[in-house]
Amino acid sequence: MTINRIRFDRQRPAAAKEGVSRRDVLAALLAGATLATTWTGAAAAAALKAAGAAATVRPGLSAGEAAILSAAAQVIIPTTDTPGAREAGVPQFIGALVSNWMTDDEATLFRAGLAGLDDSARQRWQRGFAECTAEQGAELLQALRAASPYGGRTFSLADRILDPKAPFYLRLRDLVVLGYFTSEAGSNQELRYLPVPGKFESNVDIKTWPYQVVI
Amino acid sequence: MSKDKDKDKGAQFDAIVIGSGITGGWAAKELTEKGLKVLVLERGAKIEHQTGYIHEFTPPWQAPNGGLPERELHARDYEIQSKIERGAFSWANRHYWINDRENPYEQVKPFRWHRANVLGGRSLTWGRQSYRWGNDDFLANARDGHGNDWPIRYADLAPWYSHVERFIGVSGQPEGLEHFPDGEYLPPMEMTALERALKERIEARWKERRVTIGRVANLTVEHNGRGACQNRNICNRGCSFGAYFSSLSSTLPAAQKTGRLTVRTDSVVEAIDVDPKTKRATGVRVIDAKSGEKMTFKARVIFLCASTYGTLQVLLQSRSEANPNGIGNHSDKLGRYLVDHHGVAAFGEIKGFEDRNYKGRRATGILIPRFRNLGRQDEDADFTRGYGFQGGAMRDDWTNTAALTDDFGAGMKHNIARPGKWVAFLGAFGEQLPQVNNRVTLNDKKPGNYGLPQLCFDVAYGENERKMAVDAGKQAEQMLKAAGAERVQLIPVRTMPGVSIHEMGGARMGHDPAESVLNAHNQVHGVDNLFVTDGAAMASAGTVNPSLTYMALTARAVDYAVAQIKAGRI
Repeated sequence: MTINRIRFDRQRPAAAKEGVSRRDVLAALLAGATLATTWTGAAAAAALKAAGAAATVRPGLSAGEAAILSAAAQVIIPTTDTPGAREAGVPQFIGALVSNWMTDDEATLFRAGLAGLDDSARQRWQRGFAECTAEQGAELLQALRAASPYGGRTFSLADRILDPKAPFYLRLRDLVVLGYFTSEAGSNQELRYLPVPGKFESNVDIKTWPYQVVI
Repeated sequence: MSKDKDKDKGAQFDAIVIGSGITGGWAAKELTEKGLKVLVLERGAKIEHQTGYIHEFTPPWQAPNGGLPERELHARDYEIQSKIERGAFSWANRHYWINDRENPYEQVKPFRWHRANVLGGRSLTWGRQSYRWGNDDFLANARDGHGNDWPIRYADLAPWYSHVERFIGVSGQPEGLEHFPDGEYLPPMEMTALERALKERIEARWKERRVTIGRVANLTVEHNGRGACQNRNICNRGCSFGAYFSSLSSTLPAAQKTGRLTVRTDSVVEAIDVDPKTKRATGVRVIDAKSGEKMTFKARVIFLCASTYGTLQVLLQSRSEANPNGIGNHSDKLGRYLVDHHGVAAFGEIKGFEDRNYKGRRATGILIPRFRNLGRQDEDADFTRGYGFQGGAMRDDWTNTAALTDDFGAGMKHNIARPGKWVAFLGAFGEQLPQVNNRVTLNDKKPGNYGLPQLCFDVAYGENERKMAVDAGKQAEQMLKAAGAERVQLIPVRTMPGVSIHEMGGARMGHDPAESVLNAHNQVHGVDNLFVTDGAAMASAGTVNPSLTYMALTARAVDYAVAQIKAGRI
């Protein structure tokens, strides 16, 4: 039996060309399946539709909007000793959410939020947000954060993302965080992706294992 | 093609088992191993061990939409199932659950009916907590007069608990408590550093309270040809290692091995026919879910294991001149006395263990067995019966840490990735009292799927449940504080009937045919070759998870049924 895996095109271009990873092979073999297929966003949307999922697919972000999103995502999760949001494919991940996950209202608000960021950059720094330095972008985001009070639930990240009352700043920040920590880079280099941990080591020194194990 | 052609499949089978979940799988295994030719009827789709677990190995970065819910799809087709507590419904296992739009039911009061719709049923998605009930649980109804007396006691089930435990494999720690019987356990899973501290601190303060590791049907060592638990904790996606017990990995393969098992999926049971003269169940009427074709299967004995409400629906639908209100409903007890577990949860942050961590993802938590109103009424308790706690102590993960801040930048990135603060939590499972008016009926005016009437739920928690939950919240808070917790918060859980998915009752066991539907052997009063062995048989709710008891009841009932067949009595 062939198992087709839905795979969003969110890897950085270089990684996407590396083909099927060892983990994919392991996963496929363990599942008794043929090799996992790398799918594009269009193929994923078609598969989702075939699987009975929401069929809404609207046009993706414009190049200009994508550039603002990409710059903002990189300010929210910058490159440190591990990859940043951009290298982890977060802008593409959020772009795909805008296309085939958000409601029309959410997509409109999200786009308006990106345009607002760009406007504030032009007012404050006389250039578009995508052209700002990381420091300039951070100042703008900090101001937006301060101007975006939120009184909703904060128990679960997914709940907050689903809360229609969350302001644009939080929507942007939370989606970047979600996209990053569920990305291949975030899962493996910030967190530790262990598909088959084997033993549960119940009490280890944080110095020897300062990681969260995810699957 | 005529959809109503009544195909008589003849008596090709010795036994028919309706349902393939936890109890149906057990009935199939026991019946085939005792030499009977068995037909298992499953209303859901066929799914195979290993290959059917399509997202078992899908990594986070391949999860559709980062794992966010498909809201339009859920609202349209999974309105009830997608609201399940504790994440048991997800993008990774959506295909196990029933389509709510196609399978409506009526709610006089809000009620969540969580149903699987695949071979193996909810044995694929259950939490696997596996506890024996104690003698107090079987005596409770007789002692306080709520509900009818159980026709069996712990001693009747004890050997069958052992029988089941030895096959499925339960990991756990024996504790030597009278009201919380030990079983036959594989090595226990290990507690985290903070759970060990909780145990020490709570047991030091309250001598009668015990903190133990959750007893769970996950194999800590290889067992009966199945692999050991790999500590992935994605059990409800499916487990190719067979390390957790499910019908697909354990009982159905055992039945298959005998060469006497036939499984028919996409088979919706409409009714069971009873011969008015012989008073025997003669056949099972089935609607093919795909073609709509109707047919009847015949056998000498029938085991009804369709899940509590599914079973009640079949019994209620089995109306005839002899049984105008459904099988076993001569005294209007069928569908009544539904019970479940209600509850409340508390959590708090505990400091001092920042240098401790763990590696892997354990598939159980901790448990505090019932300590209230044990064998007597506590002076300070304004409620009847009691509750137990299940909980754990883990470090917050990135999803919680991220939700607790709106910060951004390199510092935030680093903080979210590190193990978060230690959080301990306790969730109560409280015993709901059997009440005559908590019931399901059929609404003939509302056709559901396949033209069958909708099942109508009229179930509510009562004043005793409310008082018990208040007490449970208070005790949980005291215990967490005694263990050093700060900022303890109570959160409402299990506030609506159905959400615990510990559905019980409706065809309760009892001595008196006028007060019960089943006898001490799970045999329907008056229909000797029809047995009901799932949660519908339960006369009360106890305080621990019921599935192990269903399995023990099933194995015991099969043993009795086969002995009756051999003696020529049924």
